Amino acid sequence: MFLISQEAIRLDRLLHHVGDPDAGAITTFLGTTRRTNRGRAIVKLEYEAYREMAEAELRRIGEEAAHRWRICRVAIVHRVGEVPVAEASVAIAVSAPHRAEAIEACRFSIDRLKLVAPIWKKEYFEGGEVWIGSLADCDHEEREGGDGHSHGHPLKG
Amino acid sequence: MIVHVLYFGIVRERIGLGEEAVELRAGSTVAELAAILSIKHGDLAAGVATLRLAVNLNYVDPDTVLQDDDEVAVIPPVSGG
Repeated sequence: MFLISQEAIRLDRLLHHVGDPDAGAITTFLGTTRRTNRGRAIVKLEYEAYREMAEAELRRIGEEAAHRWRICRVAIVHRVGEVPVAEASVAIAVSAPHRAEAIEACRFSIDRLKLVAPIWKKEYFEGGEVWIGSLADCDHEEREGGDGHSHGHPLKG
Repeated sequence: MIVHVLYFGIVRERIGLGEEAVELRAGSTVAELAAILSIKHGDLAAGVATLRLAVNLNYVDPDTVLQDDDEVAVIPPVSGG
């Protein structure tokens, strides 16, 4: 299950998908909209995706996780459109025979998603809006401090 | 030849366009397409540190040669999660 979805995320569907008689552990991760970001009061986040490629990248992440660790099944769902404060924008579930592999593969999957999945987040805060990862966002980050963003490989220069 | 170009995020918003068809001479590279698009729309990388390009759902290097009917996506810094 590798999906970009307009709907609110239903974790029970991911759990159902990764259920496996050979699994002894299931790890889940939910990313949720926090009400503040680097001093800004968040009104909402809005996500946009290149759906076909994003779903292909999520599938590649699942395949890479299965290549690296002994796991049973992976499900990754990312929501697009508005995601209000406290709701989930992304969910990952990994089942494995043993917990260490499930936990590590789940962490790998969310870290990798943030680097490669063609998905964009626009933050609406009190007094403005900004595309996360843009120069306007990074300038703010340099002034206020923050947790950093990936900018990928330069096309030129 | 014709390629189909898709724009997303800050780039889509700035140029006010989600997609377009672009005519290129045969053998054009992704970098040459990006240069043409930057002349047409103003610097494609305005407002971002870097841009990546994807062809037919895969990230590619700038020297990749395009084929007729390719789907090319202009990918500003991603921020999913």
